[in-house]
Amino acid sequence: MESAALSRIGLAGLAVMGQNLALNIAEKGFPISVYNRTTSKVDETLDRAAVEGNLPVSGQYSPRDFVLSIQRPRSLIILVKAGAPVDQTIDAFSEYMEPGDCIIDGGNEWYQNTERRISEAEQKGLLYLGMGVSGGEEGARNGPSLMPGGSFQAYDNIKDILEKVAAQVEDGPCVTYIGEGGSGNFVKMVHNGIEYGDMQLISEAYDVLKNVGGLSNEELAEIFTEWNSGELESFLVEITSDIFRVKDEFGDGELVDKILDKTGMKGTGKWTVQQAAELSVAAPTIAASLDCRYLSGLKDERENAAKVLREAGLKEEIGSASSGIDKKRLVDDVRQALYASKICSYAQGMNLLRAKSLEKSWNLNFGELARIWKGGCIIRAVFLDRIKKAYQRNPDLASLVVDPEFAKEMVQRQAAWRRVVGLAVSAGISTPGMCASLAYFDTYRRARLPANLVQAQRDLFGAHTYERTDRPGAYHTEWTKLARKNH
Amino acid sequence: MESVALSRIGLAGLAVMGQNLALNIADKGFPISVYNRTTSKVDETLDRASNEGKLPVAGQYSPRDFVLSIQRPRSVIILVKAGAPVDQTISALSEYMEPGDCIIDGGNEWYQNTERRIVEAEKKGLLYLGMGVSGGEEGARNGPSLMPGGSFTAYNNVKDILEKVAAQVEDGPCVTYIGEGGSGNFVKMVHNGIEYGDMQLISEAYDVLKNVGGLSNDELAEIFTEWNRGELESFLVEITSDIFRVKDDYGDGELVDKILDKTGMKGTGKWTVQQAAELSVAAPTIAASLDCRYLSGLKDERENAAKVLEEAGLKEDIGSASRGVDKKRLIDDVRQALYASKICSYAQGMNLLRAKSLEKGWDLNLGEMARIWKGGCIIRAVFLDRIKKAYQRNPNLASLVVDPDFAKEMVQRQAAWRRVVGLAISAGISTPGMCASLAYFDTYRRARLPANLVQAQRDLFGAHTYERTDRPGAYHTEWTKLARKSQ
Repeated sequence: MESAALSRIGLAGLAVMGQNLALNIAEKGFPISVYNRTTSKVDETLDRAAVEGNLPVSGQYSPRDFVLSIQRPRSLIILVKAGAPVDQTIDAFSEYMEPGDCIIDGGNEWYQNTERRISEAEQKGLLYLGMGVSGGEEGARNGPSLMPGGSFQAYDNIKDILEKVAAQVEDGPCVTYIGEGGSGNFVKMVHNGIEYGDMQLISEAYDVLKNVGGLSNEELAEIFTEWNSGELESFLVEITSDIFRVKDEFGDGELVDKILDKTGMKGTGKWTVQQAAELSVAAPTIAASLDCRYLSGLKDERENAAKVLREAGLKEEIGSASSGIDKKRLVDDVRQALYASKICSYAQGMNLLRAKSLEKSWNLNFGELARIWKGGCIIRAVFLDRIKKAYQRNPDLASLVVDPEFAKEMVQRQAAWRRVVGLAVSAGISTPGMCASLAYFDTYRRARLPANLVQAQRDLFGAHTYERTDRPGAYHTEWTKLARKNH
Repeated sequence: MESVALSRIGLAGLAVMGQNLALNIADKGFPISVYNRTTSKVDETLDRASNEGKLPVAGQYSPRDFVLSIQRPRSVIILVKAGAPVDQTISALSEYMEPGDCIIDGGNEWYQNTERRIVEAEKKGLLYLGMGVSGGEEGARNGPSLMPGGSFTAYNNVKDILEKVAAQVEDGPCVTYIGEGGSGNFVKMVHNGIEYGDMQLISEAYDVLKNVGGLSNDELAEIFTEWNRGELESFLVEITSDIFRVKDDYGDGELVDKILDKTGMKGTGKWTVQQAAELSVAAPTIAASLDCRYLSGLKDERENAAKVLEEAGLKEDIGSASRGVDKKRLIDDVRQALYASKICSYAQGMNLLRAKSLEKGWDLNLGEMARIWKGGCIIRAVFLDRIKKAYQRNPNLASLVVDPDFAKEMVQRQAAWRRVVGLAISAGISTPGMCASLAYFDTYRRARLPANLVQAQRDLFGAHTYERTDRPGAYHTEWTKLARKSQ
């Protein structure tokens, strides 16, 4: 084994993401060893390596051969199902690894599992990275966004590889050393939460244009193409226009209308919402997108509910609104509503990252995070460059909403945003994500909220005390006695 | 020690809730021993006992004397701060307790801590109950709602006491055996989440009536008194009308206008939102109320945001809408919007209870939950009797929204609900809780949602496959290739 030239790096776990990432690494000129428990996957990868340009990939069929085939200090990327499978894979390899070698987990892992494994690896003298990888199949193969966190030494060992393999944008490769511990996984988790938000907001724009505006799939394809050349330019908007063009091979019309409205979910989205609650950070748009996935899963209950409410007298007014609609203005209003809602969703994601960064003293650089999301990942968009600039203008920005540039854009779009959400509410489809973003905006920007009443109630029944606006100190009042005395 | 008559029950932890509950128990004729680490609290309780009718309360000044003063099988209620203090109190007392004795934790505990302590107590032959107690200071003293879960034998030992001490309503005392393990604490947690929701929705009604309708505090006091005679009759609506009557003794006008709009929070609310995400249950109204507490806590940031947005050109339109507003109709609309929003919030809370009951095999009786919340607790309201009846009509009700009676009420109030939410959005205060309830209603009741687009996107970039509406099976499509080919 040792006589043959050693590989520069290894990758175990050859499902969709693993196989494509391995080929990407080889294509960038780094000889790579690949391994997979089901060995047929190894051969499949070797076939693709040959077909896609005789890429320098060597297949290994046992953990021992796999580890020994890699030059020292060894770097092994593993892309297996998060949770127990990762622990099993680590055990299988660490037996043959030597101090200074490094394990890089590229899965959608819960950040605390990575922190546990970092200390376990340390006991064996091994280094460890938890690396978020985003971009789906195509991103992994041609250039993903990479979010490595954990041992800086381990990052340094493979910095040259990661910077070649990552997506390239005008200001460099979409990878950076995120920070200590599980910071890489946490950042990927927030990326996934924002991804849920973007997809929900886009589906609501589709809902309004189709069911209130009465637009056809052809018109929708045109509009999303047009939007993709403006402020909404992004991977998700681009693929949405593609989706509206695909015909159904089993019947007439477009395929999108034949798809069951029931969303599956892998679960990383719920972590984002739970961490936001844990850190007292409001993330309503991300939470609304998660709720809509749960509710869409209740297809039978929804169909029953529609029936029950019809029997209770609910007249279906959806679509009726579209008769007197000025389509052109609606399309422009929806564009502005989508953009303004997106700014609020990203503001929530960034605030969650800042709260965790403070708690764990990861010292995350938000401008840098926006930069590495500009390419390769599912939420990639020109919009992220403007977020990068906002944080470069002011690294301690309290919220994107109060960046002068974004604030101006919110004010310009505010009227259209309220028209669209109001129209959806009156048409009976009340866009949850756009509503959540607008409620976030209207709550965050108000100097005086009705929370004074809540404080009075809490003091009345639980003696929690309240503060005053005009003098310092905590106060308690016998509300009921005083109210009933002069009544 | 032994010659003196033994107490029927003991209570340790004499802060607001503990002291009042102890006096309540004694008031109902059950001799009680009380103990508290800071012994001055014991004397304070003894003073109150003699002032409030020579109540049979015996003060104890050491864990040993406290335990030995209670007749066997001993029942000891502890009301200390949740978490470590509970463990410390248990170990201090259990030293002197004997098999068959029972510990009852009445704090706002995380249900899994109770489940750990049940196992630990069992090892010492002790029984254990985790009991939710709601009603604040006044409820504890005169009649709380009690939610005991864990050992049925332990419940039986104190059943007669609990049924006398609990609030009494026309269909019996507000207490019932909830179920095994930490079910009592979980039910109290959901109660607290619903409580957050109710308080948020009421504060939004106040916001609309005051800032859009231009109503004075006197008018608001009248309106909430009137509402308390109708379908909205409840503790929280009643105390809200009292709050508007209390004058400020430091200056002119009512005290409520002088209270700082910054809400404190103890944290149990976040557990409800996190458990909903864990169980894939949509609970947007409860989540929105939690977000509003977080955002209200950022008082300085909000004041800065208001300034930044003003500089960016935002003209303050709040209140401007009130000139042309028909006050009478607005009041009636807001009443209907508040009621409809409440139905959705309770539907979410009940669904969360059902999901956890299924997961843990607790077999919770949702009608019985509504019944014991009819009196004593913070969310007590005539409304809960109608929820009890809905579940009696159909114990397997998928959601309160599809109970025939509630469905009819939603349909009747729908138009007013949409007018109020629409008005708030255009006036720039966009009521987060009412929006969340309306979005829940409009999403849950639609047979066809725009989730088909989300499924197409997930299949395009992640090969997640989708189902069709017209034929069985899972499908995958090469969307990009097909879209670009036909273009």
